[in-house]
Amino acid sequence: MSQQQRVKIELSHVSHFFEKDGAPFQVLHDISEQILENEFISIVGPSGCGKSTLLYIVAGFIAPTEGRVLHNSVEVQGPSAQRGVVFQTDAVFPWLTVYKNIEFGLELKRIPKSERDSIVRRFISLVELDGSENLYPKQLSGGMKKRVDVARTFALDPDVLLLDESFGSLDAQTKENLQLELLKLWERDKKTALFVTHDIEEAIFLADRVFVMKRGPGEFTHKAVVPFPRPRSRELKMTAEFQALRHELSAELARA
Amino acid sequence: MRFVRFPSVVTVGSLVGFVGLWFVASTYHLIPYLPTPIDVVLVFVEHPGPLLSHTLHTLVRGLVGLAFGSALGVLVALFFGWNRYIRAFFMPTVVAAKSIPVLALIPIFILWFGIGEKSIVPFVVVGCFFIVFVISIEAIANVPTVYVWAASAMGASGTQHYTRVILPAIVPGIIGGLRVAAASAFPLTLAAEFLGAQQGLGYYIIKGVALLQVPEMIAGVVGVTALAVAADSAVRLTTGRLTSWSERVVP
Repeated sequence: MSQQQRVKIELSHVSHFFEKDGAPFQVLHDISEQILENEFISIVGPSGCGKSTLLYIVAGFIAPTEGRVLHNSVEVQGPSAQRGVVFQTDAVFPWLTVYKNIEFGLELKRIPKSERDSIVRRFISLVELDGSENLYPKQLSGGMKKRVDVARTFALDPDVLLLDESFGSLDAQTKENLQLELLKLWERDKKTALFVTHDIEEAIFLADRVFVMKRGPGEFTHKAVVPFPRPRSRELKMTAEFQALRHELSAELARA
Repeated sequence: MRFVRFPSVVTVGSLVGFVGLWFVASTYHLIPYLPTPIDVVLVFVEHPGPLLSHTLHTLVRGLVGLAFGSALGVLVALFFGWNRYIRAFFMPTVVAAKSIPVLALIPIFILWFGIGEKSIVPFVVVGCFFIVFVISIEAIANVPTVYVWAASAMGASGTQHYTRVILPAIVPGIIGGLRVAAASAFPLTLAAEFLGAQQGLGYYIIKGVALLQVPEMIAGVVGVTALAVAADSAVRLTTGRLTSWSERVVP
């Protein structure tokens, strides 16, 4: 974090309430935080702590009950292609082929056909889906569908990346491969990224900083800087330093 | 290969078993007024003329009602799906209307529109309309929020949500509704013909009761069943390509 880095996302006194059995139920409590340009932030917390809700508020899908979110100092009023989202559940459109899914947002942006085609092909090969262009999602494995989702988000070149437990439903091997691919894509242009997960190892491996969130109501209880250099390889997870940080955050999470 | 053939063996076996039971039940008079399968086949072979002409009447009424009712059902559902204010305004009326047992409308339609096509076709239109409308509205309501969110995070406008997410997502649902309507149109026609027609399979079956022509009655049932199965298959075969992407396996 150098001094020149400017604030990309600012959370200002964000609180959120849901209605539960007719009474207001507080999900998020007065969260204020700054996320700097090119930073990769992971948010870990127990399930139901409101971390996904917070991400949806940043995306603009949900308006916070109190407070506001600023993106490049402009208040977030709704969803925008400037904030790409990779979802936890299967969000790839089942009625479109792999190619058409990745092309979807580019078409909305009115990018000319030939340029669109070269972008789609580049991202298909970046996520190693060559040869699957014309398959429908039902013909793909869970990991391949996630690749399509990641590719279609990166292809739009958003200013900020929001990932909501994106690899949560995958087996360990596929998950690790996708983490490496995500980092590979991210290293290319270092976008500001916000990654929500309940997996501490994943959170540390990907991020520059890890925020620990507690539940009832959700707020950050601990922030850790991840000191490991980039690019990172899977061997990093085996080092004593990594495991030490992992233990520290596990203890924080247990307290949360 | 064994696994592929296995279901067809079971299917054929169950059909043979059913016809066999029917033979036994009719030959030994286990059920009164039950003709043998041969008696029913003879109706088709010996007097195909009247049966064919009555089937044709039912076919035309059913098809016209199905076409107009389904088109109307899809269009109104799409209109409702467009905007939640439109939905809020019309929905209570529609919910109330769809609780009406459609069959109860037959005598009222006869009173309003008269005997024959004038009441039968509007009745089938209303019946098919509600089937397709309700299933289509449900399909719209069941489009996962995550698709709409994903589209908006890729820059989709309100109109684009509708044309590029909602519309393609509900195609399998709408086709499912069309198949149910196609299979129901002819039974609905038949019900209307029981009360208010001088032609059609409904009339043919009712006449069979009066004259105690039981094999003819059963032939009429076979006829209307064939129409329903054929219509459902026709929709399935012509729309198969549109739903091939869908995870749902539709038999």
